[in-house]
Amino acid sequence: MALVLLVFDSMQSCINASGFDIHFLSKYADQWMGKVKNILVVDDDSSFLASLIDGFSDMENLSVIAADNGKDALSILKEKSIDLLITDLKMPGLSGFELVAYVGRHYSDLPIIVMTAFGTPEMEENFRLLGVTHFIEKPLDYNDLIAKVYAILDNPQESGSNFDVSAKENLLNVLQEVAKTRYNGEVIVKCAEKTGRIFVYHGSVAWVVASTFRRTLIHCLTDHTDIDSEELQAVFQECKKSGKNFAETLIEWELVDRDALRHLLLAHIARAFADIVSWPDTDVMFVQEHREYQSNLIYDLDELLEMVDKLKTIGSVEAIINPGVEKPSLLQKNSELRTEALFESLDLLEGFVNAGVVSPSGALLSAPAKSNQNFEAAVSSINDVVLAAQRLTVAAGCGTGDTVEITSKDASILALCFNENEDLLNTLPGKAHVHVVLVLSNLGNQVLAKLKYRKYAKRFFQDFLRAGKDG
Amino acid sequence: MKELIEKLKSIDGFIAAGAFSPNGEMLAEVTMGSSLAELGALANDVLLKSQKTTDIMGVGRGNMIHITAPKANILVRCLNENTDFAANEPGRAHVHMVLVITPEGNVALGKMRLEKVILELAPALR
Repeated sequence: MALVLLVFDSMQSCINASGFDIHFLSKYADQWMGKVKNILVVDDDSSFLASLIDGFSDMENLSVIAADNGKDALSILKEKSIDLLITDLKMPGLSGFELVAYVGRHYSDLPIIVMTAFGTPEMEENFRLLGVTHFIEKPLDYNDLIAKVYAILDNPQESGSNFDVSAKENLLNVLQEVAKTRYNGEVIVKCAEKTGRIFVYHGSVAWVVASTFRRTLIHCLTDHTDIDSEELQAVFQECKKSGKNFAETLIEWELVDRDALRHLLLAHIARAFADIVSWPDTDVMFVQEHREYQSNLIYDLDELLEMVDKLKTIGSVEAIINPGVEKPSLLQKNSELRTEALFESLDLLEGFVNAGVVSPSGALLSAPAKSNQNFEAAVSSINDVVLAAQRLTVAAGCGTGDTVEITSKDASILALCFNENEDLLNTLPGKAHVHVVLVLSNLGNQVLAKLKYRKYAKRFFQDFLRAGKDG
Repeated sequence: MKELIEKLKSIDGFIAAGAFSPNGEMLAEVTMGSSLAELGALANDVLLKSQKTTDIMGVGRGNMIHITAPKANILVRCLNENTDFAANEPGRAHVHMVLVITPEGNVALGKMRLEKVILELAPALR
């Protein structure tokens, strides 16, 4: 209570000190011809509201209506004729940002004063994009507030917000302004229960999320690239651990090339953007952030709009993505199954030493990737290891082991068993059973090499089965 | 010895761990379920075959085996201080350890901790 009185006292002193005397006030009272102007003040701090109401109670022809949240403010706006809105930004429920956006859209002539505790020039610029022309910093300078209130009410036409009526144009205007200013932040679009978020970095679009577009990036990547969920999981873990950018890590790990990923992401965000643009009666606001985006996978607005148009013409994301992204499978590249295709892929792994495809009896099915007597001599022994490991896992009751990795001082030997037989320790006629063996030196990124090895080996086995069936 | 093996219990997904003689006889174990005693001999077999493979390949003796199965990851580690791998020399430790963790368990940490614990076991076996 003491604080309330103190605030009120300081307000009075400001008024006196700045010469707001009876003549000053009566000038406006005369000008408004006795009409009472309604000011709606919105803030979740009830003591602050009480002090404002008290302060304005002495002002002629001003009536202050208070609301402690954005939702109540909207109800008041619907019921009463309001001449000026003064709102805080941070409030529970409907925030000041959302309230301002709504008012800008539905009461475009209503002047707004935003009270902000973090009023930077950039923030003011952002609000100008939303049509808000008046700001006042917290803690309030009441003298300044009253001067602003009278100035605005004296000439409301110049102070109204300048939101566009067209939802699409409004969004595009905001994005174009953001592009010009090269800001970082987020354009938030609201339409009843739907929400859209357009993340911008240096004025370019980095990512778009629409609540009506439920396809995630994971769906997009697994459907349109040959990255499998195991690899995505590993990349997620790496990003979580190191704070690296997800897309950049996918590229760094050579799971997808930059151009293909760029094209894929553009088509994905264009689909979400097309959804947002189609919503009727949206509220749009821009919130600036200073967060750094660690990727250059960003898109000019024109590029994004071009893709949206393309989507409309072609009809589906898939039709756009597929020609640019899908890699040919080994079978497509090789009309006949050849282990050479597998070895070509494995040869690119960091620390690659040698590889071979081995029958369960321990015989090499083709020449190894690199001719090496020691490797050829050890192949049957590796098979023995796989079988012994499988006996161990079966005895332990944890299923039949499919991968064995032996680590020595200089190398790691990996063996992956693919077996169609129900009895996994036996081989029946007509059932495929092969072991893919890889030797990696202990140099380089073994984790990534092992992930890729599993992928290439699986792909090889699938092609092996398909070739067998086609044959 | 059991106290040292207990250190592995804090690994995410820990199921069981045990120390075995080079013949596959169990020295100590810590388990959340059934005993590892029977698995010792089978794990030894995997180790011996793996070491034979690495010897043939000439890449240094394999001392860590990681087996991936649908319901578990099995890590088998060998510590052999003997200069002649085929013999057990007095004053030199030779021990095998087995660690079983769930498929979702922390395999990387499992490998690191196993490395540490087996070195701590060695003085008792010299």
